[in-house]
Amino acid sequence: MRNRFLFYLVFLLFTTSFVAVITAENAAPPFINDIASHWADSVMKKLSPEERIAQLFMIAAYSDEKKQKPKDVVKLIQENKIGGVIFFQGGPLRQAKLTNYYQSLSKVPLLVSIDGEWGLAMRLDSTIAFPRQMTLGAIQNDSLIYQMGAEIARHCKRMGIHVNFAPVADVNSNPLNPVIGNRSFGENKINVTRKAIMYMKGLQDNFILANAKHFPGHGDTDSDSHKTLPTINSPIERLDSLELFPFKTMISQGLGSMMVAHLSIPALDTTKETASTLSKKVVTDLLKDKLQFKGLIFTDALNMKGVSKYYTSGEINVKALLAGNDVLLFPDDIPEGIQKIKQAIDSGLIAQQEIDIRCKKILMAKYWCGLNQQKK
Amino acid sequence: MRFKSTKKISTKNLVADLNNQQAKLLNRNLVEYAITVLKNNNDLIPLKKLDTLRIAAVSLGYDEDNVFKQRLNNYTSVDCYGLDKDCKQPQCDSLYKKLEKYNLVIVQVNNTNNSPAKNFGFTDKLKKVLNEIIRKKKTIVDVFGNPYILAKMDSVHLADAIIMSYESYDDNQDLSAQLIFGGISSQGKLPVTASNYFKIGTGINTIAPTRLKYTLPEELKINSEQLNKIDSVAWKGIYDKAYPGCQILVAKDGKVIYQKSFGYHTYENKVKVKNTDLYDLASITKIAGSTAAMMKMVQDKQVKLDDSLSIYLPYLKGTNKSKINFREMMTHQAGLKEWIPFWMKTVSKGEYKKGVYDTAYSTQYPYQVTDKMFMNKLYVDSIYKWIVNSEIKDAGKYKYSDLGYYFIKQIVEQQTDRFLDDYLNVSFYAPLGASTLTYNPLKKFDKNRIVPTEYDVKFRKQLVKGYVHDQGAAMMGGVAGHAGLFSNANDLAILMQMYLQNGEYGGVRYLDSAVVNEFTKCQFCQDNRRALGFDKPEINPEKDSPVCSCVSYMSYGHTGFTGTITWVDPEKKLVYIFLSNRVYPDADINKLSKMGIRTKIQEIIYDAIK
Repeated sequence: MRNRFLFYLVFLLFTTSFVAVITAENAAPPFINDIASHWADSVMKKLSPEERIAQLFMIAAYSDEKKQKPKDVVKLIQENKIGGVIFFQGGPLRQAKLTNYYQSLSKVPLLVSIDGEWGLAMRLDSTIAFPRQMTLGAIQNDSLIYQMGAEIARHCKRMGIHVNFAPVADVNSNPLNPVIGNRSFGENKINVTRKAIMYMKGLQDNFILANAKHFPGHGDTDSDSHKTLPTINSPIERLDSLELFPFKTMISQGLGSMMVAHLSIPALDTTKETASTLSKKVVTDLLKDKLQFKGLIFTDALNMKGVSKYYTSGEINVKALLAGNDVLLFPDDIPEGIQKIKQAIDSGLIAQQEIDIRCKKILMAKYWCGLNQQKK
Repeated sequence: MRFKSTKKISTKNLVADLNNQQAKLLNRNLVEYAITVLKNNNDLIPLKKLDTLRIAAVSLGYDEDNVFKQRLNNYTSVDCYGLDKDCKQPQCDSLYKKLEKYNLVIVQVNNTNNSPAKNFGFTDKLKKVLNEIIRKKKTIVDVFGNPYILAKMDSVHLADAIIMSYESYDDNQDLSAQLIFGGISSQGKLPVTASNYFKIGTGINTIAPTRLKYTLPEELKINSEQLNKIDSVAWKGIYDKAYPGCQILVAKDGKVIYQKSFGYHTYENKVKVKNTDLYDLASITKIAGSTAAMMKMVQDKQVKLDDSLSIYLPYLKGTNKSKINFREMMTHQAGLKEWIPFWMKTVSKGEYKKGVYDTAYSTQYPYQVTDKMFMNKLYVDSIYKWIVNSEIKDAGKYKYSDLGYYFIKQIVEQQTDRFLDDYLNVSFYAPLGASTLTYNPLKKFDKNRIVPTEYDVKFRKQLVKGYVHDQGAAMMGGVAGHAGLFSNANDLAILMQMYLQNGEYGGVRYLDSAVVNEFTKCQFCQDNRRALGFDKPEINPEKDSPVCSCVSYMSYGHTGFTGTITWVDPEKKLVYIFLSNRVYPDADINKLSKMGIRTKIQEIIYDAIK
């Protein structure tokens, strides 16, 4: 681990002093390889077109019983065959038991995720809260951030979690930011980038998928996308040199997954009342084509007001797919969402082939996470 | 087709596995490397010259006892205050009044939030209070909150020192307090620009640590599970009534890795022992008190070790003690009697003799023995007379004795022109910050912080609490060379760490290393294991040793009759302290020794640090 770390350090020194390098030759996300591809193909063959759509859904689960009854989740797993769950508030023992239960019911193993920016304690009681990223931003010894990533990965693994929605890669360029603030590594893009990469490597070297959020950068807002759709009025030049910098560099370093924010960014897309999550210009044109990102693309939670207040939940799912996202996170009405996507396929709006490509990417990630063992 | 998902998650030890020591240590490291010093006028941090400081700590935001304040008090005496967010003017005024007597105020900004729209929880009221404190006092401001909050505190840049601790977790509070006293140093840099005064990248690196650090054993690659085996030995002693409670501390490489209290003050199980409680150290006084004074006097050339005591105390001339020199006396081979039950000479048929004691203080009865018991000043002279007249037998042969240490008190006071307790406090305890290390603790501390010793049926006819257990020391008014000191384990550890560091602590040299070396090595090694004042491990396996065979021969320390031990091992850079009141309620029963608890714990420590 030490050698590997030194290698990163040297690499980072290189990338941060020669800022322009990037994009040309990105390191592939860790789950992209032939064995994973082969396994994913073999699974795909056994899934109906509808089941492949369902793989793209990651639904909310709570181990706090006051918030959710397990039978609601069970229904979505058994009847709708959703692909994954994101756990929210609760406790480790209850969540572990629920995870075992849900996995036992699922045809294809579930991809399990959590928002664990400062470790599992962001969501779970009785767990260790590491410092907020702002605190980490003060640290001059970045190897500690790598160690933290590795330790959080260990905790995730112990809990049967495969994706940690961390690190936040937003540069907090607006001191009045009400939602990022101390979740960011700070105002300096280089510092943010170095630390985000260290955190990412710490996770991914231990087979937990890291997630850079919130693409293309949520640091310059003075409103909260949980409540409304914030607007970022920066010109493209600034976005490119500041906000996008950490994301681009992380992609070049083998980032496994990205989360797209609910933001209105006229410089990228002038469509009214359309969050970046639902923007093809942002997700497909910028992230996939221009930045050549090959990892999993998650939407930010689709029930957040920043996106949900302008469309029905069924529409949102279709629009998110059309924009280019792979995983629909925390959508409101899943059966309806699946139906709406089927209709979109039937009407020629989306090709089943496009669904299959994304489903395969998800399955490959599942393979990499160790979800490949077959039952006799 | 069905898949076996990943292996089933085992729920066995799940919570423990998620709260592993390595992660806890890593978390502390992250915090330690993050805490940022933004301003440090005249290198105020780490604090120096503790004996010149009268320090108050004030929580602004939420008035509470917390880890920050507790940790500050591990380094010196810090009085604690606080104001809630919605405090009223009279409370503020009363605080200003209370702060008048201090010359340094540490403001802890706590109970903040992350909302820029709500000024991060820093109210206008608090702003005014902070401005006022900074205007009037030398002030350290320590902010436990979002760095942008600095912009909301108008005059914070005028404080003498400013620390950004970012979050209010216990680890942040703990380490930030340690930073103020030099238990750790600061290395963080501000990750954002909070205002014109506090630009991104601001961060002052303070000097390397100078005082004890409080950390997890894992920092020294010691397994805390192994160290925690101490707990069951400590509890066993309590269950078996060897003592009702105890304090234990282990420091290695200048880092406290174990500091716990067990049980209660008495078997009534009413008052739990806290780390801040004071124990009667008994004969540890010989090394923490009189020997410390001797070392300093030797260094200052006020006495010579090979001089006869009678050079300084002419009344010894012509007696059987005229030839005793310090070296022989302090190593217990001057032929002196072990001790003399002076108190018996003041009692007749169970009644106090007339004219010896009074129930109230007066100039004629100045020496307080215990509650409502003051001794006639003439009897101190009698004590010395009884000692002078006592027999000398087998001079040159090792025999432990308290008596010579009575002389040290007289010699210290004569040569330094200060009372022994005063001399020690000024020379050592106050500048070290060892605030509970003291004679006559009731002069400084609440009685309920002092652990009682024996229910003395014969002499004092009461439970001894707050006064020294040793009858002779009690008759000396609590201050003697052989007994009398009280302390908690923490403050005794500070003194021991100074010895371990050959006389230096907190950036101050108290003793020359040559002096410490001379005093802590055995003097007549063949048949006498003792060093000067200090006890040493017994080399001869046929004889009893005060410690386990695991210690190095460089090591030294002392035990105390009340159920205490402190042991320093320079080879392992180790300080071990065990304090108990095994004499409660009856000193004659010594299960503590029979059970070998102090040495068993020592063995566990040595096993753990291998």
